[in-house]
Amino acid sequence: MTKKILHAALMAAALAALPVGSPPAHAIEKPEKDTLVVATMWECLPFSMEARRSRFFNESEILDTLVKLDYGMNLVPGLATAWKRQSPTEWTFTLRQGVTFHDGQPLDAEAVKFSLERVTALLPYAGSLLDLAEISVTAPDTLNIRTKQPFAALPNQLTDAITGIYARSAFDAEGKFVKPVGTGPFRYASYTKQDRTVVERFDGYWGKAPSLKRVVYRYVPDHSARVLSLETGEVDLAVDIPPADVKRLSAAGSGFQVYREPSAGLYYMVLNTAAGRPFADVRARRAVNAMIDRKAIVEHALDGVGKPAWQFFAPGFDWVPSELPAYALDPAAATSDLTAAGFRKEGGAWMKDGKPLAVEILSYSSRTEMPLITEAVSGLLKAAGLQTSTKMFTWPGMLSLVQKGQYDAYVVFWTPEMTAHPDLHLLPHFHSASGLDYNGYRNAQLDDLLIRGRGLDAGPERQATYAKALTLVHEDAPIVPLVHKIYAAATNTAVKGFRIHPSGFFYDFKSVRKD
Amino acid sequence: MLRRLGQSLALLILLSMFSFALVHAMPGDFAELLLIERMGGDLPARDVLARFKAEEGFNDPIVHQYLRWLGSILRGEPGVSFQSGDSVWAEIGLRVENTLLLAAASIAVSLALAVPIGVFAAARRGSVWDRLSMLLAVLGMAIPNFWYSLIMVMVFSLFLGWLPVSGYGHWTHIVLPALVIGTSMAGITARFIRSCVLDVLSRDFVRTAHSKGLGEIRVLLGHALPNALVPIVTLLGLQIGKMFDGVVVVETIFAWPGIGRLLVESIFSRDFPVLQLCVLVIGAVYIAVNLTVDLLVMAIDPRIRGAL
Amino acid sequence: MLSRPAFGRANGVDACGWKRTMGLGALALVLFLVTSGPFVAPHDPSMIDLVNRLQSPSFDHPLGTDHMGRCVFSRLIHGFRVTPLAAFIVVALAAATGTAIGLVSGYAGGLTDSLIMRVVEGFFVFPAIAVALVLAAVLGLGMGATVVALAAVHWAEYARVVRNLTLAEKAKPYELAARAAGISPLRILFRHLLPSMVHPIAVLATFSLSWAILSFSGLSFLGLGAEPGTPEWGLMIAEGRAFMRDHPRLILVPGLTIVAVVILFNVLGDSLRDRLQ
Repeated sequence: MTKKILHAALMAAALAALPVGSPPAHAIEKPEKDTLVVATMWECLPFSMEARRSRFFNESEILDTLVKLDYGMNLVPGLATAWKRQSPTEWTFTLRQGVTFHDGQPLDAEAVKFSLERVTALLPYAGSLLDLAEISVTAPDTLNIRTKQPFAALPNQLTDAITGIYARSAFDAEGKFVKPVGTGPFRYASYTKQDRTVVERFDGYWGKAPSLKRVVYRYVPDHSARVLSLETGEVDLAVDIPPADVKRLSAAGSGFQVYREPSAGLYYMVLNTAAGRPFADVRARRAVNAMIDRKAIVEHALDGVGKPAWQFFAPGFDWVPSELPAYALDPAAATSDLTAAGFRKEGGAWMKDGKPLAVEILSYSSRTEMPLITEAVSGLLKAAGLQTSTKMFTWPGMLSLVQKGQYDAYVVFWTPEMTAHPDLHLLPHFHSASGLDYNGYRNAQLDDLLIRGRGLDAGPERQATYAKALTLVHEDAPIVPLVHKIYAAATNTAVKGFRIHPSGFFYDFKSVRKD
Repeated sequence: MLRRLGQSLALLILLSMFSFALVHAMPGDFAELLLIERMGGDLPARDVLARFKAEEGFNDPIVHQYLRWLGSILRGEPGVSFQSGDSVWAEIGLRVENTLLLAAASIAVSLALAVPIGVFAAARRGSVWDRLSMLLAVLGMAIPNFWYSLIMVMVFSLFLGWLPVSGYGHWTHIVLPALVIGTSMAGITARFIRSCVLDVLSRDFVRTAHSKGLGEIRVLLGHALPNALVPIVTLLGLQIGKMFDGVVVVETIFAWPGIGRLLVESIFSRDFPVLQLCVLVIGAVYIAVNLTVDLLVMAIDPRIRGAL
Repeated sequence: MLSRPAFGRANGVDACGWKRTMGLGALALVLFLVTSGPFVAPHDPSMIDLVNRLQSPSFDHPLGTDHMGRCVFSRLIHGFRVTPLAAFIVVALAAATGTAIGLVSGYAGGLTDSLIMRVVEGFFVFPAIAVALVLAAVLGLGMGATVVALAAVHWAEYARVVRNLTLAEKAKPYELAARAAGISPLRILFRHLLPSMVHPIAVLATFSLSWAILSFSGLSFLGLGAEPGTPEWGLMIAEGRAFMRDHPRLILVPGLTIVAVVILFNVLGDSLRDRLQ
């Protein structure tokens, strides 16, 4: 502390001399040669075992999952080299040979069992994600996982960052999480709260060794500031950059390389279907869906960084049912729906029983495109005759209101295709009994389809089941799909070999190098 | 002196009651929010919530709850942040340190500008220095800090490329925020120093010093300034209160992890344990600063010891 | 309250005349924009037009359009009905409450007085905006909540001034005589005390207005106060921030407006104070 005060005093003296002295040309910290400095949107919390934060471990490549997703969103071997469904509720995984953890311990079936059991005990969400009943070791390199219900999506769920495999030394004697120790190409080095997390190359990595020696994750929460710090040379790579900057940096001669990757992420608006709320009536929900011009939002508000979303899943992933129903911009249909629901348009505003159709929209500003999309949606609905008001929070702030049902609509971002299986997001968001279904939407037929779908192997039956489920969601319209996200990042020209993963959850710096 | 300490203590107790009451006045059931957090985001059933409330003492008289909360703070275990899962003290300790660092740097900038300008403005009334102090004071009062910060970012980071835009961890990160707060305070401080020095200059002993043939600079720095110290220290104490208002905004803009930004974050994240403790800690720091200023004034000027 | 610098006094000449003329002229303009802004503004300030976003100034949009295609000039003009009006309500609330409490404190004296004054001192100790921030959050984020929160941290200034004035008035001979004559305290309050305080309160209120404008726009910048979409100056700056690199006018225009309005109220306060002294 004394040292810090001394530091401050020295600095103040330097500052006082600043106007007369020469400009501090080297005042900006520049990255070293084999170190990649990344400006991130979220703070990396390597000591937190909290569900929302755990994905950092995938981004940082400290941990490996049993199964991985390639750039085409296909399942590929991770720590498991093969997997097989033995019965509707039973899977066998064969583990990779010769893998060691960062602490030198070998990876075997016992270690994997320990890690999965620890994580599911600490994070209830992970348990329900895997639908875990029992894990048993049948051979040093063979693991048997039994699920409570028939569950075909298990290998897909095992690509989720939350299921990364930890060494025993990541936990203390009481089983509490202490520090990240995994098998990935990078090992944890240091962490400074609110500032940075550093990982270093792990020379005992089982795959091809990365060329970078060190990766520094700097926490820069302000969206514009991430790009600015790239431009001032403080960082090599800025992720989740705002659309306006994508456009500016893409211009020839900017000296930066911009990366865009259509992804599995979706911005959408959830409508509160509880009684007494304006969207209790399905016709009002359909009307809103027909009112919003997604193409205008993407092309103008987002400078083309995104794809208009008219349905929950982005078409183009080969496991998505082909005959998906979609909404369309149709002001006439919106008018007839609202009229049927008992509203009348008076002086440009929709009214019912003398009261305007008022909608309070909640949203949060911590995601790059979120404020732009929310503002555009609110403005478009206002122009269509609804009385909208918007409240911005952070994600947890909004969630606490949403959980209590205190809203008419909220705008949210999820990654419905994250594990390349429809179950991951359909079940928790639309099943009546699930944890994230906060908008009061219930449909017993849909519940049945969702439970049946997760037991089915890929094939025409699964295709038909999910097509039927998505049709029901489309008809009941509990949500308004808005924009399929395009992930955008930028680097300086020295960075080579970077590619954005379409899941939005992996950085993959193994192949990155700096010239 | 004892009375002054007693007052501070009373204020501290009032403050703790206020920050306790705050969370209970927040919209939403605090117990329910706490339980939702513990259950990993699931909405609790009514009977579970009722049991939780009974077990955790949420149905006790409010006075009991307050005393228990105060006890947990004094024992240093005020709970865990909803957001990061870290201990609330760990969250706040670092932040307070950073804010004090920023405050010290800002005051240093402010004084480095205000002392020379103020003294020369007093010595040469109507001169360039005098006008400069005036201009700085007017601008410092009329320019909103949040806008000023953005303009500084545009000039020093975007156009000149000298200083980083935002962040923390390297010494250059404090420069822009300290410049913003420091320069916006400098004008009014300079005006105040000017009037204090003017006041002292008109007194007898200064005239005596002049007549003894001492040079002007020596009179100003050797006699006038030290004698104007008491009101200046008092003013600095008052300014720290004003300064924090700027700190909240400036920390938010420059992503400086101080207690002001934590306060704003905890509001928008509805992170109640952190918010509650922020209020308590900020208040306690203020009470301490005010007390220190009073004691400092006493030490500089023994004449007013009796007056306290 | 910190000592306020007197505008223009540095050069030692009486600059009161031109100050007053300019001040009154500018005040007339502000009042005109507050009352009839909607007739002056060429467009609906909240009508988004995504196709024509971030347009440079033109005849149709004198200050161009923002990132949602809304007319910046119209938003600026409509803004005169948001921030200054909110500031006015803050000051009116604070002045009314503070005056009432100050009168009671000064008039009652004794234990009541010293208790009230301790509370008032408490308000001077703590940073006003931070307390307002927390209060606004408790009251539930929004324009009304923020106005009430700002008034709640500002009334103490008035209470202190009014209480000191009351004490001074109480000691004056006519006051003593009136009391001796058995005139009811309420009558004394309304016939003698209050009228004698109108001027100092008016001066304080003028300065308060500039404080309230800065504070309200600051809180709106942070995300409290005005809701997204409202043509509020602080909020316009917050929204323009992401585009300031290519379109600096988005933050320059509302910022300079705030500075101008705040300087105006300070000049008015100064000339009012000079006249009364």
